[in-house]
Amino acid sequence: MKRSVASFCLCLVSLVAIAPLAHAATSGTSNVILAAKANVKIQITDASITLDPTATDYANDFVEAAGASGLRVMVQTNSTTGVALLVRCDDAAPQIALADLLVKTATAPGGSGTSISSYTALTASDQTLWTTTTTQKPWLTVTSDIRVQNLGNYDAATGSGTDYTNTLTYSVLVQ
Amino acid sequence: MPRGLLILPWVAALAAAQPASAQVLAQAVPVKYDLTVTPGEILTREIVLSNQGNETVVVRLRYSDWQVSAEGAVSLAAAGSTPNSLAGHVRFEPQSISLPPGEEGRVLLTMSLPADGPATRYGVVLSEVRPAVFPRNRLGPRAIAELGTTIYLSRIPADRIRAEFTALVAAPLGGDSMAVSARVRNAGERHLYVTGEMALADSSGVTVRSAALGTGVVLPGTERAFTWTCAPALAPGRYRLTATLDTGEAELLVGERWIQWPLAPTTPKLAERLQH
Repeated sequence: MKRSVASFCLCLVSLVAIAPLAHAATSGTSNVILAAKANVKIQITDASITLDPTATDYANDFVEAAGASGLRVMVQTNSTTGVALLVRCDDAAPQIALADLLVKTATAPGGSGTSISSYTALTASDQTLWTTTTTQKPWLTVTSDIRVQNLGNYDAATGSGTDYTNTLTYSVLVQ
Repeated sequence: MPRGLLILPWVAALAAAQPASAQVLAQAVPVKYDLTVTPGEILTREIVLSNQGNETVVVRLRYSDWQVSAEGAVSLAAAGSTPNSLAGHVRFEPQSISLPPGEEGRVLLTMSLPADGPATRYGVVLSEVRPAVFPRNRLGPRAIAELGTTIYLSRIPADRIRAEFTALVAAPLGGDSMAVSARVRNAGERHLYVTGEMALADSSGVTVRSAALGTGVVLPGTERAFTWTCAPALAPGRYRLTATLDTGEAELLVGERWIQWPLAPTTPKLAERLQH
């Protein structure tokens, strides 16, 4: 298959090479070369999300933001090897215990990529949340479903309540 | 990308996830350098980082090792922890930049490959992007992104790669699905990229299903599986699986095997491994 393609290209190059010679006195040729570079863009659409547990959540002992309510990150790349979206929480002193902070995504991986499709506890080291093995030219939203469990472990002060906040870092990486 | 959990002493009437506005929109160019070098040669290249968001951001750079599993999962590793690490062979300047909205910053990379040790080394320069000033009076205002620029330095020319097709395996995944896995070993000293397609033909040779495989790297001395997961909805019978892989060498790698559909049950462990 490769030999056929190679032969065709050779003929084409020969024709192109002959054409300028025939018109050398009156015209010239110039090549326009685009030196494309692999690039990636990332947008953190939701800088933060507040989870307010309901009575039902307390009864279930977890609260979650999933689907349209999840945390959205948008990615775009022209890399033919695709891109991996990793996530970690490397706070020195996480306010929400990492074992209680779970993540998954329902966003389908691209090509023969992979994703974390069931709730998995965040760790201080990167985990591969979602990958594509092909280019992703239009912006694609990867939505993280977030669950916090063991709500009974998080004390609340009287009055305005108590905030517990962790920082998630989303990394994009190509092969 | 912070997640705030507000625990109140009373029970809220409604559960709500309240997203805040975008804080980080950033780009890195390029995200990969794939270079053939002479040992001892000093190379310089640039990474251009742009802040396309509405707030000033601070970019901090660091080096990390990275690796890819046999199933294709990419993971970061501590600098200097992998045998082919570029730690100590890549420097960057500056190591921190403040970028107002719409501005871009240039980072100068200085790289070299030692004459001894692995013929190909790789790593990644990570550019962490965070708002210069976090909004006040918000719950969980942290938003952080990190853009990687992957670097390969090799003293082996690109035309001296060596790939081996080691296996073509089909395993049932339950229901009408199966995973077809083509395994490729990199027997050379330079990384190589594999792309290609898989096809399923009936006993008369007519292709009934096919799919393109994504492009993936196979690091030197490692083996990697390229998997096609499909629900072919086939009539019972014999089918021929073909994997045609392009590794960048002069000849394509082609693997074939016949399967009997439906597939005989296999061990759950194998099916799980192929699925992931």
